[in-house]
Amino acid sequence: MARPPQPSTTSLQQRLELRYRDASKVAEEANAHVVGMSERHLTGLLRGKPAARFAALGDPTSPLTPEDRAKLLQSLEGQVPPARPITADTASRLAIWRSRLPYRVVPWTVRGLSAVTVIGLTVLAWHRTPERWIEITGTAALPVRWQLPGGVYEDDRLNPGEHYVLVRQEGTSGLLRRWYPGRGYAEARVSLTRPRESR
Amino acid sequence: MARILLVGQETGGIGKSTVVRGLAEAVPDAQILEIESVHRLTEFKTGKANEPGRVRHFEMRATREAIEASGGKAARAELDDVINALHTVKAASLVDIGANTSASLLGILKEEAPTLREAGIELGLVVVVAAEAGALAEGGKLLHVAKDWAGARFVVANAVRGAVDPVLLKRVAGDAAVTHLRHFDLEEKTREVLAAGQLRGIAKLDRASLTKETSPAVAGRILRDLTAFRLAVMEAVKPAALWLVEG
Repeated sequence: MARPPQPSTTSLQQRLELRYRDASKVAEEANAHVVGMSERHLTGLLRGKPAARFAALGDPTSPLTPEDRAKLLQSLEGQVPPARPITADTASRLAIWRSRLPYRVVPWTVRGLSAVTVIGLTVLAWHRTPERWIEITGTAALPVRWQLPGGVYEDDRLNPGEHYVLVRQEGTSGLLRRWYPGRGYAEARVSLTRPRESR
Repeated sequence: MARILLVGQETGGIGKSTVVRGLAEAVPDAQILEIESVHRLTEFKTGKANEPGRVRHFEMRATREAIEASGGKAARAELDDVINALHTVKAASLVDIGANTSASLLGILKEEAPTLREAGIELGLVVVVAAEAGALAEGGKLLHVAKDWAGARFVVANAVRGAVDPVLLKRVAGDAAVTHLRHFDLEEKTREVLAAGQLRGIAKLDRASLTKETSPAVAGRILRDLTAFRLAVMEAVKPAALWLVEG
Protein backbone atom coordinates (compact mmCIF):
# COMPACT_ATOMS: atom_id res chain seq x y z
CA MET A 1 0.00 0.00 0.00
CA ALA A 2 1.38 3.39 -0.94
CA ARG A 3 2.25 5.67 2.04
CA PRO A 4 0.59 9.10 2.11
CA PRO A 5 2.94 11.90 1.05
CA GLN A 6 4.92 13.30 4.01
CA PRO A 7 5.35 17.08 4.37
CA SER A 8 8.88 18.29 3.63
CA THR A 9 11.24 19.31 6.42
CA THR A 10 11.21 22.90 5.22
CA SER A 11 7.43 23.14 5.34
CA LEU A 12 7.41 21.56 8.82
CA GLN A 13 9.95 24.13 10.01
CA GLN A 14 7.93 26.94 8.47
CA ARG A 15 4.79 25.69 10.19
CA LEU A 16 6.67 25.49 13.47
CA GLU A 17 7.96 29.06 13.13
CA LEU A 18 4.45 30.18 12.27
CA ARG A 19 3.09 28.60 15.43
CA TYR A 20 5.72 30.43 17.48
CA ARG A 21 4.85 33.72 15.82
CA ASP A 22 1.16 33.12 16.52
CA ALA A 23 1.84 32.21 20.17
CA SER A 24 3.97 35.35 20.56
CA LYS A 25 1.31 37.53 18.93
CA VAL A 26 -1.46 36.11 21.14
CA ALA A 27 0.65 36.71 24.27
CA GLU A 28 1.46 40.29 23.21
CA GLU A 29 -2.21 41.04 22.51
CA ALA A 30 -3.29 39.61 25.87
CA ASN A 31 -0.67 41.73 27.61
CA ALA A 32 -1.64 44.85 25.64
CA HIS A 33 -5.27 44.31 26.62
CA VAL A 34 -4.38 44.23 30.33
CA VAL A 35 -2.10 47.25 30.04
CA GLY A 36 -4.72 49.23 28.08
CA MET A 37 -7.49 48.39 30.55
CA SER A 38 -5.26 49.41 33.44
CA GLU A 39 -4.27 52.70 31.77
CA ARG A 40 -7.89 53.64 31.11
CA HIS A 41 -8.86 52.83 34.68
CA LEU A 42 -5.92 54.83 36.03
CA THR A 43 -6.82 57.84 33.89
CA GLY A 44 -10.36 57.80 35.27
CA LEU A 45 -9.12 57.49 38.84
CA LEU A 46 -6.65 60.35 38.46
CA ARG A 47 -9.50 62.59 37.34
CA GLY A 48 -11.52 61.65 40.42
CA LYS A 49 -11.25 62.48 44.09
CA PRO A 50 -8.52 61.14 46.41
CA ALA A 51 -11.07 59.08 48.33
CA ALA A 52 -11.87 57.04 45.20
CA ARG A 53 -8.14 56.56 44.55
CA PHE A 54 -7.58 55.33 48.10
CA ALA A 55 -10.49 52.91 47.67
CA ALA A 56 -9.08 51.64 44.35
CA LEU A 57 -5.78 50.75 46.00
CA GLY A 58 -7.56 48.36 48.33
CA ASP A 59 -9.82 46.86 45.69
CA PRO A 60 -8.76 43.24 44.94
CA THR A 61 -10.72 43.22 41.66
CA SER A 62 -9.01 46.37 40.37
CA PRO A 63 -7.62 45.98 36.82
CA LEU A 64 -4.57 48.09 37.65
CA THR A 65 -1.17 46.64 36.82
CA PRO A 66 1.55 46.92 39.51
CA GLU A 67 3.12 49.80 37.54
CA ASP A 68 -0.16 51.74 37.43
CA ARG A 69 -0.83 51.01 41.09
CA ALA A 70 2.52 52.65 41.85
CA LYS A 71 1.49 55.70 39.79
CA LEU A 72 -1.83 55.87 41.64
CA LEU A 73 -0.05 55.64 44.98
CA GLN A 74 2.33 58.41 43.89
CA SER A 75 -0.64 60.64 43.03
CA LEU A 76 -1.86 60.34 46.62
CA GLU A 77 1.32 61.56 48.29
CA GLY A 78 0.48 64.49 50.54
CA GLN A 79 -3.25 63.97 50.12
CA VAL A 80 -5.38 64.04 53.24
CA PRO A 81 -7.64 61.03 53.72
CA PRO A 82 -11.16 61.69 54.93
CA ALA A 83 -11.22 62.39 58.66
CA ARG A 84 -12.70 59.66 60.78
CA PRO A 85 -14.99 61.34 63.30
CA ILE A 86 -14.74 59.94 66.79
CA THR A 87 -17.85 60.39 68.89
CA ALA A 88 -17.77 61.46 72.50
CA ASP A 89 -19.51 58.24 73.47
CA THR A 90 -16.60 56.06 72.52
CA ALA A 91 -13.48 58.17 72.95
CA SER A 92 -11.76 60.46 75.40
CA ARG A 93 -11.53 64.23 74.91
CA LEU A 94 -7.84 63.83 74.04
CA ALA A 95 -8.65 61.26 71.32
CA ILE A 96 -11.36 63.52 69.85
CA TRP A 97 -9.01 66.51 69.88
CA ARG A 98 -6.25 64.44 68.23
CA SER A 99 -8.63 63.09 65.58
CA ARG A 100 -9.40 66.66 64.49
CA LEU A 101 -5.76 67.58 64.04
CA PRO A 102 -4.52 67.77 60.44
CA TYR A 103 -3.08 64.59 58.98
CA ARG A 104 0.63 64.17 59.83
CA VAL A 105 0.58 67.04 62.30
CA VAL A 106 3.03 65.24 64.58
CA PRO A 107 5.84 64.81 62.02
CA TRP A 108 5.32 68.36 60.79
CA THR A 109 5.60 69.69 64.35
CA VAL A 110 8.73 67.64 65.01
CA ARG A 111 10.32 68.92 61.80
CA GLY A 112 9.40 72.56 62.63
CA LEU A 113 10.83 72.38 66.15
CA SER A 114 13.97 70.70 64.83
CA ALA A 115 14.46 73.47 62.26
CA VAL A 116 14.00 76.22 64.90
CA THR A 117 16.47 74.49 67.23
CA VAL A 118 19.14 74.10 64.54
CA ILE A 119 18.78 77.74 63.41
CA GLY A 120 18.86 79.00 67.02
CA LEU A 121 21.97 77.02 67.85
CA THR A 122 23.68 78.29 64.69
CA VAL A 123 22.91 81.96 65.54
CA LEU A 124 24.07 81.45 69.13
CA ALA A 125 27.31 79.82 68.01
CA TRP A 126 27.96 82.63 65.54
CA HIS A 127 27.25 85.25 68.22
CA ARG A 128 29.55 83.58 70.76
CA THR A 129 32.45 83.00 68.40
CA PRO A 130 35.33 85.54 68.87
CA GLU A 131 36.23 87.78 65.97
CA ARG A 132 40.04 87.52 66.20
CA TRP A 133 43.16 87.62 68.39
CA ILE A 134 44.73 90.88 69.45
CA GLU A 135 48.21 91.64 70.81
CA ILE A 136 49.07 94.24 73.46
CA THR A 137 51.66 96.67 72.09
CA GLY A 138 53.96 99.10 73.92
CA THR A 139 56.11 98.43 76.93
CA ALA A 140 53.75 99.01 79.87
CA ALA A 141 51.08 96.54 81.01
CA LEU A 142 47.47 97.63 80.57
CA PRO A 143 45.23 97.46 83.66
CA VAL A 144 41.98 95.59 83.11
CA ARG A 145 38.95 94.49 85.17
CA TRP A 146 37.59 91.00 84.30
CA GLN A 147 33.98 90.22 85.05
CA LEU A 148 33.50 86.57 86.01
CA PRO A 149 30.25 84.59 85.40
CA GLY A 150 29.02 85.14 88.97
CA GLY A 151 29.30 88.94 88.58
CA VAL A 152 32.55 89.05 90.57
CA TYR A 153 35.21 91.45 89.28
CA GLU A 154 38.88 90.67 89.27
CA ASP A 155 41.60 93.22 88.50
CA ASP A 156 44.47 92.10 86.31
CA ARG A 157 46.95 93.31 83.73
CA LEU A 158 47.27 92.74 80.03
CA ASN A 159 50.95 92.19 79.40
CA PRO A 160 52.68 93.62 76.29
CA GLY A 161 53.44 91.04 73.65
CA GLU A 162 50.74 88.60 74.82
CA HIS A 163 47.65 87.61 72.77
CA TYR A 164 44.04 87.94 73.91
CA VAL A 165 40.71 86.93 72.40
CA LEU A 166 38.59 89.79 71.01
CA VAL A 167 34.94 88.73 71.11
CA ARG A 168 33.46 91.84 69.55
CA GLN A 169 34.56 95.31 68.56
CA GLU A 170 32.24 98.20 69.34
CA GLY A 171 33.68 101.44 67.97
CA THR A 172 37.04 102.13 69.64
CA SER A 173 36.43 99.65 72.48
CA GLY A 174 36.47 95.89 72.40
CA LEU A 175 35.19 93.01 74.51
CA LEU A 176 37.92 90.56 75.54
CA ARG A 177 37.36 87.03 76.83
CA ARG A 178 39.51 84.81 78.96
CA TRP A 179 39.07 81.34 80.45
CA TYR A 180 39.42 80.92 84.19
CA PRO A 181 39.78 77.21 84.98
CA GLY A 182 37.04 76.08 87.34
CA ARG A 183 35.27 79.43 87.19
CA GLY A 184 34.31 79.97 83.55
CA TYR A 185 34.75 82.68 80.95
CA ALA A 186 35.52 86.21 82.15
CA GLU A 187 34.93 89.26 79.97
CA ALA A 188 36.49 92.74 80.04
CA ARG A 189 35.90 95.88 78.03
CA VAL A 190 39.07 97.69 76.91
CA SER A 191 40.01 100.60 74.67
CA LEU A 192 41.38 99.46 71.31
CA THR A 193 43.48 102.52 70.70
CA ARG A 194 46.43 100.82 72.41
CA PRO A 195 45.97 97.06 71.81
CA ARG A 196 46.89 96.09 68.24
CA GLU A 197 45.48 93.33 66.04
CA SER A 198 47.78 90.37 65.77
CA ARG A 199 46.17 88.00 63.25
CA MET B 1 14.15 9.58 8.88
CA ALA B 2 11.51 9.56 11.64
CA ARG B 3 12.62 11.19 14.86
CA ILE B 4 11.51 10.37 18.37
CA LEU B 5 12.03 12.79 21.22
CA LEU B 6 12.13 11.16 24.65
CA VAL B 7 11.32 13.42 27.59
CA GLY B 8 12.56 12.06 30.88
CA GLN B 9 13.37 12.70 34.51
CA GLU B 10 13.31 10.18 37.34
CA THR B 11 12.17 12.79 39.88
CA GLY B 12 8.50 13.75 39.74
CA GLY B 13 6.98 17.22 39.89
CA ILE B 14 9.76 18.92 37.96
CA GLY B 15 7.68 19.91 34.93
CA LYS B 16 8.30 17.01 32.57
CA SER B 17 4.70 16.80 31.37
CA THR B 18 4.67 20.58 30.89
CA VAL B 19 7.67 20.21 28.59
CA VAL B 20 5.90 17.43 26.65
CA ARG B 21 2.85 19.67 26.34
CA GLY B 22 5.07 22.52 25.12
CA LEU B 23 6.55 20.25 22.46
CA ALA B 24 3.04 19.20 21.45
CA GLU B 25 2.13 22.89 21.05
CA ALA B 26 5.17 23.44 18.84
CA VAL B 27 4.69 20.25 16.84
CA PRO B 28 0.95 19.49 17.03
CA ASP B 29 1.15 16.66 14.50
CA ALA B 30 3.56 14.63 16.61
CA GLN B 31 2.04 11.52 18.15
CA ILE B 32 2.63 11.14 21.87
CA LEU B 33 3.52 7.95 23.71
CA GLU B 34 2.77 8.37 27.39
CA ILE B 35 4.52 5.89 29.69
CA GLU B 36 2.93 6.50 33.06
CA SER B 37 1.16 4.66 35.85
CA VAL B 38 -1.75 7.11 35.39
CA HIS B 39 -2.94 8.66 32.13
CA ARG B 40 -2.22 12.36 32.60
CA LEU B 41 -2.25 13.84 29.08
CA THR B 42 -6.02 13.77 29.03
CA GLU B 43 -6.44 16.91 26.91
CA PHE B 44 -5.25 14.97 23.84
CA LYS B 45 -7.40 12.51 22.01
CA THR B 46 -6.29 8.92 22.38
CA GLY B 47 -5.36 7.06 19.24
CA LYS B 48 -3.65 4.09 17.68
CA ALA B 49 -0.15 3.81 16.24
CA ASN B 50 1.12 6.76 14.19
CA GLU B 51 -2.00 8.89 14.48
CA PRO B 52 -0.82 12.54 14.35
CA GLY B 53 -1.54 14.59 17.44
CA ARG B 54 -2.99 11.60 19.34
CA VAL B 55 -1.73 10.11 22.57
CA ARG B 56 -1.15 6.42 23.35
CA HIS B 57 -0.95 5.53 27.01
CA PHE B 58 1.28 2.70 28.19
CA GLU B 59 0.41 1.92 31.77
CA MET B 60 3.29 1.17 34.09
CA ARG B 61 2.32 -1.03 37.00
CA ALA B 62 5.71 -1.96 38.37
CA THR B 63 6.62 -0.05 41.50
CA ARG B 64 10.10 1.26 42.14
CA GLU B 65 10.60 -1.49 44.74
CA ALA B 66 9.53 -4.22 42.31
CA ILE B 67 11.90 -2.89 39.63
CA GLU B 68 14.83 -2.81 42.03
CA ALA B 69 13.98 -6.20 43.57
CA SER B 70 13.90 -7.85 40.14
CA GLY B 71 17.09 -6.17 38.93
CA GLY B 72 15.11 -4.19 36.37
CA LYS B 73 13.35 -7.22 34.87
CA ALA B 74 9.95 -6.04 36.09
CA ALA B 75 10.33 -2.79 34.19
CA ARG B 76 11.76 -4.49 31.13
CA ALA B 77 8.75 -6.78 30.83
CA GLU B 78 6.37 -3.85 31.04
CA LEU B 79 8.34 -1.83 28.52
CA ASP B 80 8.10 -4.45 25.75
CA ASP B 81 4.96 -2.78 24.36
CA VAL B 82 6.72 0.57 24.35
CA ILE B 83 9.76 -0.80 22.51
CA ASN B 84 7.48 -2.44 19.98
CA ALA B 85 5.62 0.83 19.49
CA LEU B 86 8.89 2.70 18.94
CA HIS B 87 9.79 0.27 16.16
CA THR B 88 6.58 1.15 14.31
CA VAL B 89 7.06 4.94 14.40
CA LYS B 90 6.71 6.58 10.98
CA ALA B 91 6.78 10.32 11.82
CA ALA B 92 7.86 12.78 14.50
CA SER B 93 6.88 11.42 17.90
CA LEU B 94 7.12 12.40 21.55
CA VAL B 95 7.62 10.03 24.44
CA ASP B 96 6.61 11.19 27.90
CA ILE B 97 8.47 8.90 30.27
CA GLY B 98 6.99 8.87 33.74
CA ALA B 99 8.97 9.26 36.94
CA ASN B 100 10.92 6.15 38.00
CA THR B 101 10.78 4.77 34.44
CA SER B 102 13.33 6.89 32.55
CA ALA B 103 16.43 5.01 33.72
CA SER B 104 14.92 1.62 32.87
CA LEU B 105 13.73 2.69 29.40
CA LEU B 106 16.97 4.46 28.48
CA GLY B 107 18.93 1.43 29.62
CA ILE B 108 16.94 -0.74 27.22
CA LEU B 109 17.19 1.81 24.40
CA LYS B 110 20.97 1.68 24.64
CA GLU B 111 20.64 -1.79 23.11
CA GLU B 112 17.72 -0.96 20.80
CA ALA B 113 19.00 2.32 19.36
CA PRO B 114 21.26 0.76 16.66
CA THR B 115 18.39 -1.42 15.40
CA LEU B 116 16.02 1.54 15.39
CA ARG B 117 18.57 3.61 13.50
CA GLU B 118 18.87 0.89 10.84
CA ALA B 119 15.09 1.08 10.52
CA GLY B 120 15.31 4.83 9.90
CA ILE B 121 14.31 5.95 13.40
CA GLU B 122 16.49 8.40 15.32
CA LEU B 123 16.20 9.05 19.05
CA GLY B 124 16.68 12.34 20.86
CA LEU B 125 16.46 13.09 24.57
CA VAL B 126 15.09 16.01 26.57
CA VAL B 127 15.89 15.99 30.28
CA VAL B 128 14.08 18.38 32.59
CA VAL B 129 16.00 19.55 35.64
CA ALA B 130 15.20 21.88 38.52
CA ALA B 131 16.95 23.35 41.55
CA GLU B 132 16.85 20.09 43.45
CA ALA B 133 19.82 17.84 44.12
CA GLY B 134 17.96 14.63 43.18
CA ALA B 135 16.64 16.02 39.90
CA LEU B 136 20.06 17.36 38.89
CA ALA B 137 21.82 14.10 39.74
CA GLU B 138 19.23 11.93 37.95
CA GLY B 139 19.25 14.30 34.98
CA GLY B 140 23.01 13.97 34.69
CA LYS B 141 22.75 10.17 34.76
CA LEU B 142 20.09 10.08 32.02
CA LEU B 143 22.11 12.38 29.78
CA HIS B 144 25.17 10.21 30.31
CA VAL B 145 23.30 6.98 29.48
CA ALA B 146 22.06 8.46 26.19
CA LYS B 147 25.39 10.03 25.22
CA ASP B 148 26.41 7.31 22.76
CA TRP B 149 23.14 6.68 20.96
CA ALA B 150 20.98 9.84 21.17
CA GLY B 151 21.04 11.95 18.00
CA ALA B 152 20.62 15.07 20.11
CA ARG B 153 20.33 15.84 23.81
CA PHE B 154 18.57 18.79 25.37
CA VAL B 155 18.21 20.09 28.90
CA VAL B 156 15.34 22.29 30.05
CA ALA B 157 16.24 24.02 33.33
CA ASN B 158 12.91 24.70 34.98
CA ALA B 159 12.93 27.43 37.65
CA VAL B 160 9.83 25.91 39.29
CA ARG B 161 11.90 25.20 42.45
CA GLY B 162 14.02 28.38 42.15
CA ALA B 163 16.91 29.31 39.90
CA VAL B 164 19.11 26.39 38.88
CA ASP B 165 22.75 26.91 39.84
CA PRO B 166 24.56 27.66 36.55
CA VAL B 167 27.75 25.85 37.59
CA LEU B 168 25.88 22.67 38.54
CA LEU B 169 23.77 22.95 35.41
CA LYS B 170 26.83 23.16 33.18
CA ARG B 171 28.34 20.15 34.93
CA VAL B 172 25.14 18.13 34.54
CA ALA B 173 24.34 19.17 30.96
CA GLY B 174 27.83 18.81 29.51
CA ASP B 175 27.55 19.35 25.74
CA ALA B 176 23.73 19.07 25.66
CA ALA B 177 21.78 22.14 24.50
CA VAL B 178 20.41 24.02 27.52
CA THR B 179 17.31 26.21 27.65
CA HIS B 180 15.55 27.82 30.59
CA LEU B 181 11.95 28.02 31.69
CA ARG B 182 11.27 30.84 34.14
CA HIS B 183 8.97 30.41 37.12
CA PHE B 184 5.40 31.63 36.84
CA ASP B 185 3.59 32.59 40.03
CA LEU B 186 0.01 32.14 38.85
CA GLU B 187 -3.12 33.27 40.67
CA GLU B 188 -5.40 30.54 42.04
CA LYS B 189 -8.10 31.05 39.40
CA THR B 190 -5.46 31.03 36.67
CA ARG B 191 -4.11 27.72 37.97
CA GLU B 192 -7.64 26.30 37.87
CA VAL B 193 -8.10 27.33 34.23
CA LEU B 194 -4.68 25.90 33.33
CA ALA B 195 -5.43 22.60 35.10
CA ALA B 196 -8.70 22.32 33.19
CA GLY B 197 -7.28 22.72 29.69
CA GLN B 198 -3.48 22.64 30.01
CA LEU B 199 -1.41 24.36 27.28
CA ARG B 200 -3.63 22.96 24.53
CA GLY B 201 -6.63 24.71 26.04
CA ILE B 202 -5.00 28.15 26.35
CA ALA B 203 -5.33 28.96 22.65
CA LYS B 204 -9.03 28.09 22.86
CA LEU B 205 -9.82 30.32 25.83
CA ASP B 206 -12.63 32.76 25.19
CA ARG B 207 -12.41 36.18 26.79
CA ALA B 208 -16.17 36.71 26.89
CA SER B 209 -16.79 33.41 28.71
CA LEU B 210 -13.96 34.04 31.14
CA THR B 211 -15.24 37.57 31.80
CA LYS B 212 -18.73 36.22 32.48
CA GLU B 213 -17.28 33.64 34.85
CA THR B 214 -14.97 36.06 36.69
CA SER B 215 -14.61 39.77 35.83
CA PRO B 216 -13.03 41.75 32.98
CA ALA B 217 -9.94 42.43 35.08
CA VAL B 218 -9.46 38.84 36.24
CA ALA B 219 -10.17 37.46 32.75
CA GLY B 220 -7.57 39.81 31.30
CA ARG B 221 -4.95 38.68 33.80
CA ILE B 222 -5.74 34.99 33.24
CA LEU B 223 -5.33 35.38 29.48
CA ARG B 224 -2.17 37.45 29.82
CA ASP B 225 -0.50 35.05 32.27
CA LEU B 226 -1.48 31.85 30.49
CA THR B 227 -0.53 33.01 27.00
CA ALA B 228 2.82 34.19 28.40
CA PHE B 229 3.27 30.82 30.12
CA ARG B 230 2.46 28.89 26.94
CA LEU B 231 4.90 31.01 24.96
CA ALA B 232 7.63 30.57 27.59
CA VAL B 233 7.23 26.77 27.56
CA MET B 234 7.28 26.72 23.77
CA GLU B 235 10.43 28.87 23.71
CA ALA B 236 12.08 26.54 26.24
CA VAL B 237 11.51 23.52 23.97
CA LYS B 238 12.16 25.24 20.65
CA PRO B 239 15.62 23.72 19.95
CA ALA B 240 14.21 20.24 20.62
CA ALA B 241 11.12 20.93 18.53
CA LEU B 242 13.25 22.10 15.62
CA TRP B 243 15.37 18.95 15.86
CA LEU B 244 12.21 16.84 15.87
CA VAL B 245 10.84 18.32 12.63
CA GLU B 246 14.18 18.39 10.87
CA GLY B 247 14.16 14.60 10.57
